[in-house]
Amino acid sequence: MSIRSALTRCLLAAVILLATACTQPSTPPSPPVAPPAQPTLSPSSPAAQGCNRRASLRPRGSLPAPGAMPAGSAMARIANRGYLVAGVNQDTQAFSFRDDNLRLQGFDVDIVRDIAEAIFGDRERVVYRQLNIADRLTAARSGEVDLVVATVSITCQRRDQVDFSNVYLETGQRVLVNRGSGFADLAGLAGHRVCSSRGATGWATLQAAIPKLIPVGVSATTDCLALMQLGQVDAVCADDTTLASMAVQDSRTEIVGPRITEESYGVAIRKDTPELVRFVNAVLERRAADGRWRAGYEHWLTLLGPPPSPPAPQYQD
Amino acid sequence: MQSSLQTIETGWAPLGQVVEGLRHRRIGKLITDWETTPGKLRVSRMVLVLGILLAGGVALFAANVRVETTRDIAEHLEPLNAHVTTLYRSLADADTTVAAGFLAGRVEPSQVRARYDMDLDLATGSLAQAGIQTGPEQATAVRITDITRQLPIYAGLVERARTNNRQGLTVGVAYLRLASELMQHRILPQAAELQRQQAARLDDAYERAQSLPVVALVACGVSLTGLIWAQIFLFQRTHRVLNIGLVAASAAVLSGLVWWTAAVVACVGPLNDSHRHGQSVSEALGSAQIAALQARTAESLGLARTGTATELDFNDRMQRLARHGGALDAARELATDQIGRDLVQEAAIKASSYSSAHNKVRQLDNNAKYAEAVEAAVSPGQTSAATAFDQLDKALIKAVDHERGAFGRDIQHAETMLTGLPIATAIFAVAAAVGAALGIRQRLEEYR
Repeated sequence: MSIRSALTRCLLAAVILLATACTQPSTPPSPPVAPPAQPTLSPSSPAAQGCNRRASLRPRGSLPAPGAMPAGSAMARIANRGYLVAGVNQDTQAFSFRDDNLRLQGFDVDIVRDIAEAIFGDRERVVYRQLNIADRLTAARSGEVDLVVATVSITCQRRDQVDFSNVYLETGQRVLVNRGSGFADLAGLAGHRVCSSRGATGWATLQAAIPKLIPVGVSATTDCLALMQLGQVDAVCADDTTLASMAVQDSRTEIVGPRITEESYGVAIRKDTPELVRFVNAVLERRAADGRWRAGYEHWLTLLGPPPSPPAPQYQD
Repeated sequence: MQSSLQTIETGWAPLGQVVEGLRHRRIGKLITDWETTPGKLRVSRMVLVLGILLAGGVALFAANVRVETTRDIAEHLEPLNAHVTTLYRSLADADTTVAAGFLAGRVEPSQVRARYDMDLDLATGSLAQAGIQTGPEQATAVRITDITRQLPIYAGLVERARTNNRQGLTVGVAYLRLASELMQHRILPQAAELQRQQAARLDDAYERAQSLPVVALVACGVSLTGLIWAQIFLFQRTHRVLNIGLVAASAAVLSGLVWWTAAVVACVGPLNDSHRHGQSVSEALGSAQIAALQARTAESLGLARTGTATELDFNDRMQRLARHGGALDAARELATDQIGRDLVQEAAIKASSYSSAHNKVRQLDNNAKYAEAVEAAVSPGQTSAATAFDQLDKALIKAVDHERGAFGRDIQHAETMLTGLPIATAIFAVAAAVGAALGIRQRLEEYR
């Protein structure tokens, strides 16, 4: 769960910042206008354990033709069922949300549709399950869904529970505040209410580690924006991609502070179907190569600036 | 100062002595009188008359309590119970309606809007009525105040949800969730608690109204025993069999006893029936309405996919409604007439049509036909789940209306049965006292 680790990192960063502020009182205050992206303060997982969280399973050969899935594979089972069951986020603008015709749209949903197209030759053969942040990995593990494309950050700890595809988006946590509120970063929010998604283990750690920061938990990250508009929280801590999708809904808000973590989104798939992981990686490679990744980024995530190049795939075998 | 006080004290002293003296003389006279037959008669007359009047007073008080309790049920407790039931139902309906409306798209269909407006109207109306009728109970008043405070906040969140949803902003759904959370976790539990309290008070009142009239029976019994004793005494002393006055007095007491018994017995049926109607509305049919609403909410949320396990929720609610021994079965058992049973049966049929319509929605959704599933769930078409749910809702409302009407008739019936009880009790008591006094006086005169 991205939020668990993300929050841990949010708090770690805050602790570091607070500690710095305490031990070095003469340090000049951080610049009033926060630079967009600074070097990250902590890696997303303990590299010391020798785990490369970004390394996934290499595709075997080229993609099979739609409708001709290898017999006995997870893809063949999905093809026989007639539809793909995909877990996505609830109402997250730019990633998965319903348009005016109630169709789900977004950066994550595009990936789901590309996978469906590769299996069926039909982009619409999908049943979506909108998941609470806290339920995403459980849904992938239990087989309730075939795969989860829901802004899930890859961590080594999560790799114990599910398999991950290649990284399909690199992002990091920042803070969203009301314009003119004077808050410059998470450390400046000590004693204030900060909203984030509930249900992750990092949540309890956040409460324990930074008693001065008052955490407010929700089940869907978008609820944080509503709470901030209602004046019930002072800031939202989330991945900046998610924050951008909030800022676009309310021009009275702004993203501040440096990226305090480094997050890599991947497709989560249950552990006993490596062939599906390889298949999804082939789909991801193809959409990176044929410009679909870039087109999606330009369409949904322009707020984050011009598109970078797609994350380079890394394989363990 | 000191001397004037003494004057006052000494001034009062003779008066006290006079009263004491008088009292002693009176009692002394009664004691000396007791030695003679006329004396015995005089004492008996006094005791009998006072005793009958006292017993009459006690019975009159009991009669008034009974009439008041029945009136309290009819005019205060049941209406209050109806108001809190309406309050809960309309609040739950508002929440369900808004959730279903969001499924329909960026702009709510006008009938959804109208239904929500009607729900809030009903809720605020019944809240105000409940507030007026609540009286001095602190716990109830606190709950009503809190609901009154939260309801505008809820409505505000719903409006924000609509405004944002119209503009295609996902924060609209966030507001919808916040509104629903406030309703489900703060407002509805309070309304449910109000309902529980009112139902308990109503049950208490029924128990009091239907209790055995012990006090009145004892009063009648004691009076009658006294009168019979007096007649035996007179028979032994004067060897006259009949004393018109005492016989008339006994007849008056007996009539009172018969009237009481008749009134209480006549009330049992109507009171019982009205209690059953009330229970049916607040417990059986009321629970059925709530369960249906919750099932519909689960269906909507299932399509909006804002939570997990909504299909289990749906099945659970429909089970509560329609399973053997469920809410509709309870309503059928509580119904007192064939029309009532038929209406419940009608609701049961509608419940099963709704379940089938829902299964179609699920089938479409499970086959990746989301748009068709939503259409089947919210469109006003003949076979849609929306129509089936509406029909179930209407059938339940019809059954509730019938029970409510029957309640009104039965409790009025019971009230009518009790109409003459206090005045009859008073008249019979006075008649018995006068009869006893005259009857003994007649014998006394024979000693002059």
